[in-house]
Amino acid sequence: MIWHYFKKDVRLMWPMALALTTLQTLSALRTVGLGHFNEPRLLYAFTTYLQFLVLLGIVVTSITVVHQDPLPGDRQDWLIRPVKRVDVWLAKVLFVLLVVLAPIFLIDIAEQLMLHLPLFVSLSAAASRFFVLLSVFALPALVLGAITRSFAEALVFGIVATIAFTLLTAMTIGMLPVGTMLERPQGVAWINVASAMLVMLITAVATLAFQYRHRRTALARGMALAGVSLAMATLAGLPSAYAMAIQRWTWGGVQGDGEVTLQFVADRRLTSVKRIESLPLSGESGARDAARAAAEAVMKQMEKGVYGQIHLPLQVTGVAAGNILFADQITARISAINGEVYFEGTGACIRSGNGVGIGCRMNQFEVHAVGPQNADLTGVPELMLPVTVYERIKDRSVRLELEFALTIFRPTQTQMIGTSVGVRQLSGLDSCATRIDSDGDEVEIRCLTNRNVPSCVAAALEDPQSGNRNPEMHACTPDYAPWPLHLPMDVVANTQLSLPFRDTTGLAHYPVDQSVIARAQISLTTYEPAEHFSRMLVIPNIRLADWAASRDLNPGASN
Amino acid sequence: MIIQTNNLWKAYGRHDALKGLSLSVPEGSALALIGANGAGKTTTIKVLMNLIEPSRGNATVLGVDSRKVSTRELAQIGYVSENQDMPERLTVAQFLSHVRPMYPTWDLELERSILTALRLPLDRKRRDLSHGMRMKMALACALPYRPKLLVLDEPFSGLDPLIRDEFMENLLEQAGAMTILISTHELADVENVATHVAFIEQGQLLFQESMNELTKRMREVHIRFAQTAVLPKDIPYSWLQPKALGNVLSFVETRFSETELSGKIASLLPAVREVDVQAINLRAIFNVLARDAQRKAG
Repeated sequence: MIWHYFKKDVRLMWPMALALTTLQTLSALRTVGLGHFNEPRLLYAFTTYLQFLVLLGIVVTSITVVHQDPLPGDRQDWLIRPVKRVDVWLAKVLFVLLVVLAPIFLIDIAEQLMLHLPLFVSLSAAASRFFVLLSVFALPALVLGAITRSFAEALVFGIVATIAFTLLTAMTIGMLPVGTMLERPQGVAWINVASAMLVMLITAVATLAFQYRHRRTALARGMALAGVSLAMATLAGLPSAYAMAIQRWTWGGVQGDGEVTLQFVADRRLTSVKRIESLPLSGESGARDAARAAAEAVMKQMEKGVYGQIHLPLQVTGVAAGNILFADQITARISAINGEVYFEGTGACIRSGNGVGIGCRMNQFEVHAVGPQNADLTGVPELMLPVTVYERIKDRSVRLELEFALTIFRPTQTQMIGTSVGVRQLSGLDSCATRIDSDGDEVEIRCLTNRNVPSCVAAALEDPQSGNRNPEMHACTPDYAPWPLHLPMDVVANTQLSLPFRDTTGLAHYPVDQSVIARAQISLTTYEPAEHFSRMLVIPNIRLADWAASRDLNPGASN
Repeated sequence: MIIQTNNLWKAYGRHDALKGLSLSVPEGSALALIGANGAGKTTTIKVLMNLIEPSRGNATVLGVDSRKVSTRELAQIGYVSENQDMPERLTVAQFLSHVRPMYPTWDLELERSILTALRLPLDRKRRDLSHGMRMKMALACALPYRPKLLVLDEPFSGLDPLIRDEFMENLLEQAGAMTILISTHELADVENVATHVAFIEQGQLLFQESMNELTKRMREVHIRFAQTAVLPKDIPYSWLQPKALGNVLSFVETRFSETELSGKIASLLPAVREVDVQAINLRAIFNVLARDAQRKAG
């Protein structure tokens, strides 16, 4: 009867399925047609919501196919027919797989092939998106269909549940200390996402099985809401210790012990260190920089009332030339000399956020060993202690123990590309194009890729004739996922980097400037994690007030 | 028994729709489940069809607990209801094609003859059919596999008399060896088909018996007196709706036996001039029983 019910649903729902496939086709054509720079802009702006419509279409179609043979209620004809309910359930799943998601899978592959992306990776990326769409959208939508009688009821239930979850989330976040959501290390964020997806998948299958077997709608609704709550809690609040434990398990053989040593260097407090610029990762350059600066200022202001901030200069040795050392997580323990523990907390080092109690600001514990003289790197992690703890102990002599979860990023390869070239395939970055931006002050690099971009990228403008080179900029967005976890919007991601070569205020001068920009080359070095390990640093006696952030250091790294 | 319910209860929140209903449907019979709107007829049928679960008690259908009615039993049950949700966007022919493979005993010849008799427009979608046509469509999908049990829930509701007669005619033609359970609030609708009748009121079974016995024991009695009629002090419980009008006393005798009636009259009522005993039709029987039930319920 599975195939029989499937055919009936196809007969009834082919126009809707066709509309969804058309939307996905248009979305794919949009990605291919707009190219690397998303132009023309007007078309880009007008079609921005196409991908949302596809997701909406998946949800609506999945709900509707279940409503062809609704479960709640006692008037449905199909319930008095000699057909096994499990067959009807499987027919709905088959419909979603073959009629809703399979065309999207095929269109995804076609889209990637049109962008000249490799076939095998394209298949893998399309399969990954297929899985995400199934577990995050289609199966939950089937559940919503199974616990409601009509689309209007599903809509009302969905809206009420969304409002309830939003309020619950807001209340929960409001009760937590600032930054709790960002406690987890950035590189292991995929574990939260994958775990939440797994919870959603299990919830959906369990709820569907229960509802199709017992038709107890109230209980099934409870199961679904509990599952979604658990998935949300997993996504936002899976303890970083668990995430790191899972991550360590997946790392397996690449865990090493390295040669790296960390040492607290009290005399480096006033060291003038050179700031390494980070690469803007996405968004529109002008607005992006302003927004980022404003957000940071607001965050800093807010944190002042909540946290006591301490900067600790650390000397780092043993990082091989060209490598990047990155702290994924720092666990701090502050105790009195007599052993009384004042504070214990874990924080993550991420590019633009803070952990609970302890955290790393942008560039504050990420050191880059350039050239052969790499023995003297300085990193300045920032500890953020709850202000009540800080005020209580800041003038006391305390013992500070810091455990660092560290990763060494090793360069995999360096590739050169012109500043204004058409499409070129770059290893690890896939289909890339470059151009001078409309302001004439930056070179834009855009890459369309169907896999995880390298965790770190370093880029610099070079003039091949004079040998001049602009300061290297690097971006680390660690992602330790063992396989690409595609977001549902599009199978192809547009990654962008911008390299400045002209200061519009005229205050700074770049060695490679507008006069030679046409012949300049971009040197792009990609990095991948090579070693994960931990280090313990113990400062037996320290007075925290001496290292307060108000006596600010110039953050960054030196070489 | 094809159907048997034992002390069946069903509660919707605080409201008890069924209150200890015990009912049996003998094989080969056509039982009319009679009751006013809201009496619990549809609830009973939904429990039997495993569309809802009873709160207490149990029911068996084709020898199987109603909670466990599965595809094997459903393949032998035909179900027609005024509240049957079928796919609205399928045509009659498409829906027949959809249900046909579900029944191993589906008889194509029988289907054709039923469709001819019912004059159903095969190419019309269900949403475009009138209520009467929808009921005919449901019947056309319930008969061709020659079900052992045919359950009809208020099949005549909203049907005009012509369609109702046609419907009954077709039903009678195909009835054969089927056991039929038919719920209605109009006993007269099923006079020609019902062999048994069960009267349900406020979730309780008031009585159940064969039509023959029912019509045999129910009589309308008019007693004429020489003077003004007066109701006796101790009216027998079997006399329903007694009323005195002028010199005539009327009532419905629900346990009619000529000798017993004569005895009761002789002992209770002096100076009787004439006794007139008449058989009454099923509609009148239903009305009398319904009013009496309502009176007892207060």
